Amino acid sequence: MGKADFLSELRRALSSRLPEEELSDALAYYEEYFAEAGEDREEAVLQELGSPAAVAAKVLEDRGDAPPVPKKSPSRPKELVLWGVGILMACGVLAAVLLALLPLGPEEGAPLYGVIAGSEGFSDDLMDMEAIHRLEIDLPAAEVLIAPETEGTGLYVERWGEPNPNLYYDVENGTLRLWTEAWEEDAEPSGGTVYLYLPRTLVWADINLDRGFLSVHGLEVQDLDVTIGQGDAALEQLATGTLEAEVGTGTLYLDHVRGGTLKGSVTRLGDQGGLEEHTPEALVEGDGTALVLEHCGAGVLELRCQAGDVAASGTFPGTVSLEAPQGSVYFSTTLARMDYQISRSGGSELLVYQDVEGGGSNYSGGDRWDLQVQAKTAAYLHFAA
Amino acid sequence: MTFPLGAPLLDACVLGVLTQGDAYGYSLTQRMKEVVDLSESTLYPVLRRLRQAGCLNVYDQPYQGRNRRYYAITPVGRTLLSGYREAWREYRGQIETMLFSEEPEEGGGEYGEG
Repeated sequence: MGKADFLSELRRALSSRLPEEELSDALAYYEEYFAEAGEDREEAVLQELGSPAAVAAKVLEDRGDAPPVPKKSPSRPKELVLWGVGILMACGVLAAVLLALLPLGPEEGAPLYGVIAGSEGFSDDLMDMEAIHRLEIDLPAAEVLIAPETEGTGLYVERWGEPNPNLYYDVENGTLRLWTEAWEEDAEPSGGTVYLYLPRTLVWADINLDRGFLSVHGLEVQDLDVTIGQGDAALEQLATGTLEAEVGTGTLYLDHVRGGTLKGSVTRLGDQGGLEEHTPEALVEGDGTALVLEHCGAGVLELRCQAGDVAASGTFPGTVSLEAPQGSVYFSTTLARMDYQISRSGGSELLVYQDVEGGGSNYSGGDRWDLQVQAKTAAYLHFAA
Repeated sequence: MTFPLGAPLLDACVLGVLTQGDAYGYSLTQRMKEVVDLSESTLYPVLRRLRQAGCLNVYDQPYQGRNRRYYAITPVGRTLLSGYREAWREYRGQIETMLFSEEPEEGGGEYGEG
């Protein structure tokens, strides 16, 4: 094989896989390379380069950088892309309860008694989860675990409202609602655990817990709104147009969450967070970090922790706003083309700052620190109260 | 023997070589091959990646009736390089505490590389 054959085979191997500009760029490089080496070295260069296919693979392999951030498309949630692998893996907690699943009938406003599978009072009809596109949960005290339907079936409730059942649900126009009603005056709010297995794609979900624990994973939700008064939320492997999560006292943990806009806020770190056994280990063992993002991505990122630390890592090519007036901020990003605005408390000290100076940065004084990164590069910074 | 260069180290070396002056693909490859075991095809993806990251600029200069594409390090690239240098010093120190654990400490920093 000569140089011409090599180049035409390389073109063929890459042509359907690369945009025109990149294709011609790559070919020009190798063409120039042969020219520089001269005819004397052509054989040697061919030997060293290896097959065109191998060279093509190298060129393609290196393109696997950060995936694009999904665009918000309100009327067509299915366009959202769910990144990340391992979605199909059932998490241990959920897997354990699959054995005891109880499919429920879609009765309007049916009370859910605090029982486990096999108890009387439940219909054996399968709830038509396919018909559910929206989710509204408003509960005083609960653990709510939401997973895609590949991991289970329907709605399963455990231990609720003893002695008085007070959990209700209905499905209307594609919206599944779960709520409680009037327990006796002065009675302790009864609580329990809800396992929900939903279609992977939802238009919106609005989840409100006064106290408890929330886990959501493996879904695409156009608009996800989470409010927890006291407790923890773990949101994992989600794709979302807009996510707004607010925790009063507790922790907020996001892992592999991609969104157009991610907003998270924690007022303060709780003693134990919410229900201890489900709290992500990282938070239990943590050093006061109340708000954690790992492997996330967002066009717009806004995080605020009134009292406690914020830690965020991922791909944030857009606007970033981080606030921890009484705590520390740990922030690391790849693919940065942005203006960061990071508020810090009055006396806090910047501990580490590297890899971004050349991109242009400045400390504007006062309690606001502006960082500009001109191009895709790595940024890492940390300042502590 | 030589030790294979991982992607970050390769990036760092390319940036380092380019601080000595702009270079075109072939010359850069040859320059690096003097020191490390490098395949002729390795550098294109590296150069492209660094360029996309804003670490390199390119410009073409006519040479013998064709173009040579030169690569030049940008301020962003220099910043990245300074980070790499710092990380490398630290890494080298850690490796050497294992490699030369029986030798006196003041010998550190004087070992030749490669």
